[in-house]
Amino acid sequence: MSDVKEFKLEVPIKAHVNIDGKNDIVDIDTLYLQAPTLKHRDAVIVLKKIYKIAHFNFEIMVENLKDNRSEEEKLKAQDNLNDVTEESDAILVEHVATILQGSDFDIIDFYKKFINFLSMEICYKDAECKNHATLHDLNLLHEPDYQKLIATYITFFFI
Amino acid sequence: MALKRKGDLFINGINITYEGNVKIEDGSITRVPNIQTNGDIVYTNDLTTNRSKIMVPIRVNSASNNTFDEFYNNEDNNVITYRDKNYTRCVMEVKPEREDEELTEYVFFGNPAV
Repeated sequence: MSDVKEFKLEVPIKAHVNIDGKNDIVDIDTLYLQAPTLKHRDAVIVLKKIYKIAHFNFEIMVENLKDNRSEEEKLKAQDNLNDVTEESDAILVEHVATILQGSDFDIIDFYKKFINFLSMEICYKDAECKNHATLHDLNLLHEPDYQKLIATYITFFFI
Repeated sequence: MALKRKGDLFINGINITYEGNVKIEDGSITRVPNIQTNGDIVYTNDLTTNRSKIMVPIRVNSASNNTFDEFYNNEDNNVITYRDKNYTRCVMEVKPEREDEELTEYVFFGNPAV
């Protein structure tokens, strides 16, 4: 598990940053995500549990759907998820996003808990990780970035 | 007691709870006429009036005093966001009179930013 993951925003947000002692308002187009530490333990336990329930519900839903794909197609889809390449990272994130949106659970509550967790010095606005993103900054994210950010964090730090 | 508000005023990234209404006066360039004998009036621009004034009503207590003392000590190194308006290089020129548990008004002057 790498320590810092970059996340590029489709729609930049304006945020307060302090760079070398100078306060400024800048357009942020990249967020930097850090792995959770011991102080985030309680929040991580809750979020991982909710995600596992969502994943379980999703798998039940998929099993109940009639899968007309051939065995070869199913194996190829599984191989795509197992390969570790840059393109497959995007596929994994997409898969996690599909699980969250396809499951029957309180997704809004989960997203709110996740954003609170990210504001606990997990998500930063600069590469040096000196300006952490506040709740206000994260609430400025547009909807596609909002959902993709959470799916990306789960993919790279929870799974 | 005025209504406490939180969530739409940020100074240096810090969410500020204020009471009442934040007042903003956006400055403008002053056109100064220079009269010439037997000639047209020549207008020059006075840029010193082209700065915004942000007035923040705050309930005085030791926590708010410490916070705003820090903003004062930053000189013009403050940034303010109020709803959808941003201001950079904000300076508090003078500290207001502060009486414990009473409302006071902190005044900043700054550059509007897009």
